[in-house]
Amino acid sequence: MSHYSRGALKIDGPACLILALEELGFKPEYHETAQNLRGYQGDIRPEVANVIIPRAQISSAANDIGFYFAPGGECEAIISDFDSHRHGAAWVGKVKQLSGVHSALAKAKALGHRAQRVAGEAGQIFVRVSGSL
Amino acid sequence: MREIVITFEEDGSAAKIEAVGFKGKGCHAATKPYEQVLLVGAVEDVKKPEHYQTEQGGKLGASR
Repeated sequence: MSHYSRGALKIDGPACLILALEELGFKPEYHETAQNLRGYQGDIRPEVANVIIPRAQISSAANDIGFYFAPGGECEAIISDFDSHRHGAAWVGKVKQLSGVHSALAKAKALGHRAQRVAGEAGQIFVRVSGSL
Repeated sequence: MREIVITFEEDGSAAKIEAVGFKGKGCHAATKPYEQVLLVGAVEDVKKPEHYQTEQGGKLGASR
């Protein structure tokens, strides 16, 4: 017997987002209180974020990239027009995918389940959960 | 063997959470914690044909 549910993927908190960004080679900063992003000249931008990739980790001409968590938990990626050429929708999608994988692995661990991550041929990632289900 | 298989699409747009090898409503209880942390908005909930067979006491077919 089988059953499945399907829906839009969400970023479930900063911890799994940070793991996803680390997997992509960044060392993001976390701020419980959202901080202003900085532009490529070090200028303070009006946008604020809880998880920030400092511009120095992106390129010499880049602005900070941020992720803001609203009080309801929704996460918004804040990326300048300039940086969206390299870190646009496809990159944000990859971040969401990896964040979801880490959320699933963390949930499995919390529930005492076994979880195995498997890479798919078409770019998908599978997490297989077993144990005391 | 009971298993949950979670598929994350490459573009990060969606995830599918599939319960395999469960009986009755146990699959919902097993997948719900994962739905809560992974999915947002409207969630499409699909029972495969063999699910109905088993709930009506029929013979369990192939699981996938």
